[in-house]
Amino acid sequence: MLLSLSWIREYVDLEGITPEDIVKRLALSTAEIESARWVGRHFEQVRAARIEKIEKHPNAEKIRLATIFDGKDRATVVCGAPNIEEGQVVPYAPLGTVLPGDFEIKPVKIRGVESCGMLCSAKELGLGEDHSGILQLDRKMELGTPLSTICGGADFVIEIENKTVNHRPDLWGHYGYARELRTIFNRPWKKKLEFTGVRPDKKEEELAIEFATDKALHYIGVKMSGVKVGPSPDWLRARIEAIGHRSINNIVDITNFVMFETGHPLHAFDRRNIAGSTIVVRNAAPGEKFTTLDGIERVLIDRDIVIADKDKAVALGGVMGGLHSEVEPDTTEIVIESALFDPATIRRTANRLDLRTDAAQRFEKAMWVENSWLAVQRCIELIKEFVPGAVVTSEAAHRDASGKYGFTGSISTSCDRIRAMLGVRRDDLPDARIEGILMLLDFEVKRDGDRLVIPVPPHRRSKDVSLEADIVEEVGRIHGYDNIMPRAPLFPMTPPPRNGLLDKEERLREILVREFGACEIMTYSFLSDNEHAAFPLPENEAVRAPSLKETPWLRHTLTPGMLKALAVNHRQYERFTLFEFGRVFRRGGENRRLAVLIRDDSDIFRTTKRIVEAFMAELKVPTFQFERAKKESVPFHEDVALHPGRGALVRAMGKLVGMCGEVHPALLEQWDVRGRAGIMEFDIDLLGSLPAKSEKYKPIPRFPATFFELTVLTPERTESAAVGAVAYKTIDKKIFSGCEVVSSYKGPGVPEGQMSLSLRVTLAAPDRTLTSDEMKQAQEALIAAFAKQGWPLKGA
Amino acid sequence: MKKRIEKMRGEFTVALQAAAVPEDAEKVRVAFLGKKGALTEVLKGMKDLTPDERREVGALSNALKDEFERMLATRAAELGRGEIEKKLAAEWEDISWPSGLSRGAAHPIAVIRRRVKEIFVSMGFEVLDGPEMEEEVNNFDKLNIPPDHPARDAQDTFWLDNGMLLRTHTSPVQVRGMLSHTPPFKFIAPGKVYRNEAVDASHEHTFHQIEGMVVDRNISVAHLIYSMKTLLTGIFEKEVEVRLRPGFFPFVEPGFELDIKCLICGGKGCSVCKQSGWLELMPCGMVHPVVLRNGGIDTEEFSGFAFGLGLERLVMMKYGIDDIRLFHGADLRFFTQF
Repeated sequence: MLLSLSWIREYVDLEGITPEDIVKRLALSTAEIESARWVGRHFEQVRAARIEKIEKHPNAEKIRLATIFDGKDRATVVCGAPNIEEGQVVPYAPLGTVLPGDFEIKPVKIRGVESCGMLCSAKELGLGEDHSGILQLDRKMELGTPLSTICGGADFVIEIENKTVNHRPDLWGHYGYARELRTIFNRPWKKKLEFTGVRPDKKEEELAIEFATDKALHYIGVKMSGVKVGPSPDWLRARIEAIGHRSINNIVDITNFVMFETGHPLHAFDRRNIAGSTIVVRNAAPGEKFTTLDGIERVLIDRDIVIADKDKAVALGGVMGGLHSEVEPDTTEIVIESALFDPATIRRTANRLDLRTDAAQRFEKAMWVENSWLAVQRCIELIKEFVPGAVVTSEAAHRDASGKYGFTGSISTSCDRIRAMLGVRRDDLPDARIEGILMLLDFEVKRDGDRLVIPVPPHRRSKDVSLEADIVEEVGRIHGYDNIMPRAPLFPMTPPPRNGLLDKEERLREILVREFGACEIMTYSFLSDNEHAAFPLPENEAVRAPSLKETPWLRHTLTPGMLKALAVNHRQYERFTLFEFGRVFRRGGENRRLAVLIRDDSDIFRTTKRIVEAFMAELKVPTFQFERAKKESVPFHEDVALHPGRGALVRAMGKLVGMCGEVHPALLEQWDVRGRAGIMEFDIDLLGSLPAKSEKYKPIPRFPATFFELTVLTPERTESAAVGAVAYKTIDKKIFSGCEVVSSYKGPGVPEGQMSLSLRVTLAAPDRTLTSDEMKQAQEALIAAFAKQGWPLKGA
Repeated sequence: MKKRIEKMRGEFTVALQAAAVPEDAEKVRVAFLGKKGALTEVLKGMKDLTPDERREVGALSNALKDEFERMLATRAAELGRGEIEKKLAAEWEDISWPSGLSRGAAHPIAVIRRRVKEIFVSMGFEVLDGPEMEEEVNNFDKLNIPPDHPARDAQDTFWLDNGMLLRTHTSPVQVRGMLSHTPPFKFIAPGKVYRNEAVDASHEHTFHQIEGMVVDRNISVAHLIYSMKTLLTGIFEKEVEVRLRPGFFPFVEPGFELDIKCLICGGKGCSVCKQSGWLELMPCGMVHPVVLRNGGIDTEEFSGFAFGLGLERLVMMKYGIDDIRLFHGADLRFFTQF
């Protein structure tokens, strides 16, 4: 929204305050400023001059030399326009003028002849699009007159960031800003707008208003006759154009002027196009067609509001008038409409039709009845002033259903409360200043001992002010938040409770980064149809975000995101490790997961296993195992994600907490990646909830351990854990202290289908050194037990 | 006998000088001082001497034995040094060869998040967490966002087919925090949030916030300003100038936009701050009484402030990153830099 500072100055005396100051204070106390700039400063410099003589340019065909006289001086100007003639009065920009677009007129030589200034086209002056020739001024115009006398003087235009005043219906017109500035700078009104009433000059007709929808809140309709449609007076056109709008005709411009003044949108109908005397506000019929002012036929739904006569709709309520009821050049009678609608209804209609008009923008904010009346009054005043012969020929017909909107009560507070909530001292913000601020903002303040009782004025009650805290804000923002001294809050000295889960997450992150050189990434929480289908989930467990057309599924696993990240990087880097902490979603809820992706070409499973063991050690998980995936349940989609022979589920304290291993080659193919990769996915909620091992010192054994080594032949794919289990079962628990697989071997010297495993068995007793006999017995028992399994000693 | 001893000294010296490696010196030691060594033989032969002679020869040969041992030690050290020198001459490393250590990195958002967390925890704040898939009532209703508010439209919010939504801010954790705590309390809540926005260099549909809330007796705007200044000084590791402007958010009253003096130009005005000298950093405000009551808090006794800090914005400012899409882009050329 654009504001003209010279317009605002009509209402409030801001003499001696610079535009820069106004912008700064407005930004700190009222609204965000999108931009602020001078316009039309050149109108003060460009002046009327007569062309006295035109000569040929000595070196060019199409350009000529014009000698002009501005009432004081003569100058020669080089001019390329075809329409100049001697005797014309034209706009002359002397040297030093800055035209729109930061174009400064400097002395230049054009084809060898110096030009002292410039004659301007309408476009060059920012007065329109016409660039076909030099703008022609009235030949009777006094020479030397600055253009500002016809185009309005220089103005300072401020662009307000609209969304920062969405909650302030009173800040959608210049008058509201005048009130803000008067308060901020403590200045008097120059022109205060007050409602005095709307009365007919003669009663020719009785209009009636009918509401056939509960979305109509208030409606005023008043008829004027003797209207003559024509161009707007210069001052009006200048005001409308200064804030970026097009001048249409006097009647439309006046309704717009009043909207930009008060904030309240008005509409003028041609009386001829309203059949009968009753104006109906109703919901549109579903599928009802209506052609708006812009000539586009709209198909309406029953949540839209239309203004209608007994036969047809004449306006799309709160949004735009109809093409067939607008004011025409031959219109003589009009009906002025000033209404209030349900804000949400207007917003929905405007959004659906992509028709966010100035009117719709304002009606969305919850306008107030008093302003609607004021707008009608202002409109009539202006029409009567600038359209001679125009008279009001009906009572102002109106209907009011606005009762349930807005806060009509009073707010009770005290100056001490206001200071306490702001955190300022009485010296810095005395009572008188508090009351002064509120009164300047047109709040009435009644004192009751120490209490302040503040009825909320109409311009603030429809949406914005209803609580003590709202009053605190009014005082605070005008006093200036910069004037509040920061103060440290006092808290008791107690350590905050720790968030165990987030702490653990930080520790795992640290391990991945520091020990495994991994990089943390984040991927989107959304999956495409293909990505989702690759990790099947029962229909009734998946969650969708339907507005995301390309990726409508909420992820239920982090693995697809990691594979995508692998695809992004695998051509750039040979080896890398990535991880992500993120949430996965199911219908019943979400949980935290951690995924790790390892790009490498060998020993992948072992690497993933090392990471798991590092996690378990860090979190001090008392017991955990790696186990092969089973078909019946696939909590981590390990059946799809993992290479069947090179992956494992991780079970800790009896719970499945994650999976790790080599990525299934079929998946890599689907994500278009060659080579190999490892993947891990962990349930962090589960992992984080596991108890930690108690940390207690165990005495170092007093008697040395002893060991023996064996090499046995087993079938291929015998897990070392199975071999260890036999040792554990066979050897006397009192002296068994461990069985470690030292190496495995397949190849020459070992029969086909078999492998050799070398073991080291450690024995120890807490109370003595073991004898060689004891060791020999254990060794023989173990050899016998292996033999029973069908695992002979190698070389036996 | 004495002569033999004297002569032995000469022989020993020559033999020791001739030793080229530590093993030669050892052979010399064995030849003179070993079990069957020359000097040992002398000592063995002393039993045939008179007590006087024995005393004299004994003293002589013991002195000689000490002397030999000293000489041996010196020579061995010399020879050893030679060995080390030979080794040193043969050995060399290319110190420019890469170590092979692959450096990992936490996500820049995680780095800043940890920093902010540390600052608040050190000031006694608890760290809370909330779900990303939220109930409408927590994301909107209880935060005083009315049913007709535009934020609820599908063009702003990701609605889910199970009737829930992806939280549009971390503020629902305020509701959860108030309901699970008894005032006074203070907490922060970092998390991922979602808005239905078209993604480009400066807009993302997925981003991160840190919510903060303090509820206590007599909490004022002055406290809020102090806390925000402390936080920002901690993050930027230097004094930052802040200012509050009015800002409207339904869950605070009064509500503010907090600006910091532009870090790029120092307030003179540049393209980053759109010539204003200030950067809009975070919305904050005094908790709206309706929100406090929705959280079961007595507004006569308690008041509070709350803020929502956007992490992407902060990280982009800190590192000079100009494209927000990089954060979810998975490109290692970006992530290895942090």
